[in-house]
Amino acid sequence: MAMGINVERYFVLAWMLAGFVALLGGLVWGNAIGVDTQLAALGLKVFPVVILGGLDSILGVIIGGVIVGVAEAISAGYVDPYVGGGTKDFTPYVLMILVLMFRPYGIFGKPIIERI
Amino acid sequence: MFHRESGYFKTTYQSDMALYPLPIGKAAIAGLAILFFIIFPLVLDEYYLTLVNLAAIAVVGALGLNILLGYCGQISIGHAAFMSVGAYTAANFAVHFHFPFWLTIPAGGAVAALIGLFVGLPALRVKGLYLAIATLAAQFIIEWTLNHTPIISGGIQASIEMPRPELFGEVLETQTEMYFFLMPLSVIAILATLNLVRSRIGRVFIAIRDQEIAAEIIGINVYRYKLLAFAVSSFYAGVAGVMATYYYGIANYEAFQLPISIDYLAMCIIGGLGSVLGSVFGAVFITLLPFGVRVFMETVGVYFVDGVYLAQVIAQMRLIIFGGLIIFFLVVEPEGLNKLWQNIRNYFRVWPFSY
Repeated sequence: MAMGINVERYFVLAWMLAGFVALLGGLVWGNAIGVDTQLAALGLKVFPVVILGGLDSILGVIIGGVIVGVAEAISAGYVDPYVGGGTKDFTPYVLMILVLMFRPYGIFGKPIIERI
Repeated sequence: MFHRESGYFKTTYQSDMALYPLPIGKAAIAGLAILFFIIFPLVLDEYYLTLVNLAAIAVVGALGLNILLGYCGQISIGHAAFMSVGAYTAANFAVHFHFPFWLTIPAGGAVAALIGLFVGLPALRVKGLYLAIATLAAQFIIEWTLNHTPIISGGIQASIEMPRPELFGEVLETQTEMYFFLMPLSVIAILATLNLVRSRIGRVFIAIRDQEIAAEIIGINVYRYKLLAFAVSSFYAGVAGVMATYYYGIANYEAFQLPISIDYLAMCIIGGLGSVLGSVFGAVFITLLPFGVRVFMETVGVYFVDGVYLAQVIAQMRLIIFGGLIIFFLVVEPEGLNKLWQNIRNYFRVWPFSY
């Protein structure tokens, strides 16, 4: 703000861009699987993707998305028959916690340097 | 006796830390005790006692989350999952081993605290949004585990019927009797929290919340106290879960899903982070909101909406008004209902002068 940046304007811009990109995702998803009111629950699934890849890395999001998608499909195909289904919903989260334990900022995230 | 101080006159740490800094505090507590334990059960209808009972359960859960979120600064979106752990533990003990309630409540809390310790482990490595999502994972994993372990939950989509609590050989069944069962637990939880947060542990929590690295430098074992915060918070959640199971009469995972976790987060944030009174305000507010919306829609809404659709509209309006009010309160007073209450109190304290 001290540098003459209109902070409010860029917050608005960031939110607008986020909404627009999410819209593209929603369009693709809706075309492939169909639209209903439960689609909003999908919003929770993006967190493992971005956190797995690292919060400030575009490459991380792409790779995280692929990893999460593949892991979901694998667990639905190979693990579900043994335990009775439903593992698809939380496999991404387990994977994410495992990654966070070794790389706290995701695979490609930048470590945050803390000051006192 | 009924006076307030006109300035800041505290000269010792003891007087600064006192629970009742003024005689009026004791009088107010006595008045509240009479109101809640004599007048409410006698005067209130069964229906309204239901609301008070639900609020009493929510107060315990919200206090637990506020210790973690408001005092220690660690976020958790898995609070409802800890409640379900407590609920299922108590239900299993009560059904299989015929434990009385004074054993199932600590047992449920203890097991929930144990699970909470595990869930708190990521907090040693990550914080902020990362930690929030890690606890969200715990919510899903616990939910799924309960649902798919027949030994615990009796099979998929099943629920365990909970025996009614007994006190001195008397089976507590009506709302009034449940009121006298739930309310003391809630009061104990409030007192315990008040004493916890002004003790050494509470001050360590606050130090960690305010500046983690600085806390570590002055010699606090941050990891230990973070895990402790998770354990304490989960203990409260477990107790709240046991209370809820006794109250509903069944243990079912559907009563403890993700939206409930978010409700508890909303309670803490609306009530005011880092204040005991705030958690009570938040819990009561969020619990009573759906009923308030219903009353409002049934009295005012009928003029706008056709009677046939009213039930559907109420269900939808509840969500809209819920979200709208949360945003409204946060914009008006970002520090929550507790701050609002303090503002009102300070206004009357110096009335008729402006300061």
